[in-house]
Amino acid sequence: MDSTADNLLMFKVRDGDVGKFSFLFERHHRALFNFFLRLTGNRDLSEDLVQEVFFRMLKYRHTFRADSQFSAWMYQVARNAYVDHFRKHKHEAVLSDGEEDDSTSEPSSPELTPEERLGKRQEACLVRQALARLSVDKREVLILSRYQGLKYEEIANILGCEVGTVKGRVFRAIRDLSEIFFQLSREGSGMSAAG
Amino acid sequence: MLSIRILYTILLLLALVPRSSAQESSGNRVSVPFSNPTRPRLVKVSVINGGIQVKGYSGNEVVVEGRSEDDASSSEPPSKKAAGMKRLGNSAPKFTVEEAENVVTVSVRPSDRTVNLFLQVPTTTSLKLHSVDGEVKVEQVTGELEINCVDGNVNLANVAGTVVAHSVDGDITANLLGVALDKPMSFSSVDGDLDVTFPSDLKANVRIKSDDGEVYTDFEIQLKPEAGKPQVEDSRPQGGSYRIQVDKEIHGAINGGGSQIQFTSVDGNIYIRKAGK
Amino acid sequence: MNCEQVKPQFADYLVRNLSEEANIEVQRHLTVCDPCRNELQILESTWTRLGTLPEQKPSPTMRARFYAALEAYQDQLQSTQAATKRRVTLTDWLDGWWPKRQAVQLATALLLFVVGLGMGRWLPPKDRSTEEMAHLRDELRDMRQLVTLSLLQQQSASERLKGVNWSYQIAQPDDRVVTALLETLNSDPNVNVRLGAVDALQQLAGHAGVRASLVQSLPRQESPIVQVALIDLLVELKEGRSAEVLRKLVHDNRLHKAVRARAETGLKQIS
Repeated sequence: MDSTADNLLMFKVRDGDVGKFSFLFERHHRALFNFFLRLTGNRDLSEDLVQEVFFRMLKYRHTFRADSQFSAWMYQVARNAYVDHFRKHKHEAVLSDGEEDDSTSEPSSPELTPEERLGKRQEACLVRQALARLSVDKREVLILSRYQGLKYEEIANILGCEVGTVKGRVFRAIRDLSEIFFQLSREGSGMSAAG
Repeated sequence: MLSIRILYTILLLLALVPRSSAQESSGNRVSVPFSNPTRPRLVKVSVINGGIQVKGYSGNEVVVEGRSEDDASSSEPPSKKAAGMKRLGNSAPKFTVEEAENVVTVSVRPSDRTVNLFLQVPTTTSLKLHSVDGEVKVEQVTGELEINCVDGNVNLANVAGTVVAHSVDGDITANLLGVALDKPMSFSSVDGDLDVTFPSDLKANVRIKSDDGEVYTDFEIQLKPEAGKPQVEDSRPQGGSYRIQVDKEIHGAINGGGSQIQFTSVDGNIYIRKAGK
Repeated sequence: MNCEQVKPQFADYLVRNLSEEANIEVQRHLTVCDPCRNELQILESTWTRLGTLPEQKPSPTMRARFYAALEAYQDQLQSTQAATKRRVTLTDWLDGWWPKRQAVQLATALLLFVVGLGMGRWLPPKDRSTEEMAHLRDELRDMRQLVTLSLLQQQSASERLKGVNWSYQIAQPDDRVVTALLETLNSDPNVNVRLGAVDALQQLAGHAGVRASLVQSLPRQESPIVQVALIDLLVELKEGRSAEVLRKLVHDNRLHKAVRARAETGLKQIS
């Protein structure tokens, strides 16, 4: 994704051309939705949070500085929205365990056989389960680096910590996840195909 | 404007996840930045049971800390079921801080516990402070200061700008280092004393009214002749008395006149002091 | 490079973020160290596995919601901007034109007056000149009224106090100013401003309806200092219609003692 274009668009919005904000929505809403979905497992909540984030960015557009990067800023706002939400709704379940509606996933390539498609679904289900068992801190950095494509320096800025901390956390996250996959495969050896 | 606001509700001592640098919280302490550091700032605080202390510092955030008065000892004895155990958590005071368009609003959830708020604000910030049952104290802030207290003293130390202050039963003590010329000021109290110190080169038109208290000043006030017109009632022919009612209001000019300053007290004394004595 | 030094590089290795030299160093270590090589293999396979999680599509309502909300926001933005422009224009224009300091204001007013006089000299018929002066005076008065009215609307209590003070300078204020002052007395959020309104209304007691409004205002007041000031004013005006209200105040236990005392003495002075 061309970050220069994003920044330019945001500068225009900041300086009054509010209409151009829709371009930024089109470019980023899907990634943001998936960020929240991978973090929380809840589709409705994720959609709500996406709305919240875009409107906070619009409302506080004047805080977008000349040296800001749009996507890093967006994830910062996203994180704040997410934390605010969970402060208010502490008692709600944080992550549902992988009951995705796979009809909304990207359509798999038509070359796949039904068995292959089933295998993919199972694998995705497993990954979701594994992620759900990670701690929030680790899951968060993992999603930001692995899926949202943010550099470690950008993540460090967003979290307000050192780059070294981020790298360490990612390392431990992958390590834990590997262990979780191993455990899941042992648990699932007696299970049927449904994930 | 859209009514989505950033609401930081501090419930307990523990913070969920470390926040980004935009805001910190560690239990009952919150930092909130102003959206636009270059435009005028306003902080509004409203407390029912409790005092407000505001101190100016050099920064762009408002730091709010709440302390309950009865943190150390609980006035309620634990129930029999809880005998021998300690009560966990939930003793941190509940307050909310919102920021929108450079206005930070702090409010305390009504409860029967006394919550005192301690704020640090950028030195140039306007304040609107309201307390029902507590003291208000402001130090080293320049701006438009509006203070309203029912049952507490108001103390403004080393402030500048303009002050509109009222306390029903408390004293108002203020030391102004600088006065904004085109912004009228007003100090009023029913039962309390007004004790205000101004820079010695103050230029002001003053209106002073104290029904049952005394008025003292070390400024030279050129009294205006229209005020103080005595009203004479002579009802002696009907068997009544001869009564003169002098207008209780003093109008005058200090150093030639300038900003409008009003002092009103019903039962308290009024002291208007010159700085640097 | 030993195991301790290699581990922190793994995070960068996974995202292919290592410099040339660092990469070489890491590879060199991996060739000789079985445990590290095994660990990295596991990490890499997990990293790859994560990629099997597909991207999901949000429901179509999400986009619809966004656009609807954006449109609403833009509408609001336009209307508040228009409203602010209108208000700002009037106040700004006045603020920009009418000088701020008392002395200069007086000088300006005098100057205008003198200019008016001067203008009067130029006009041949004498009637015209007095007419001009009267017109000029009216204009000045209208200007001051506008200033008063706009100041009374301001956000800051100090500005509203300024508005109250301005009203003293209007020679014969019309109903708009009187109404605005009464409104201020009844509903201004700041005690000191309401107090100022009481004093300002003292000058306007001669206006039709002011006395009655003052009587009506008294039971609505909650702040003791305003109540005392209003009682004093009504007593000074010898407004007999306030007797009933005063009687109620005397017997109201919730009131500040100073208010009840003042009501009692006031009652005696009126009756």
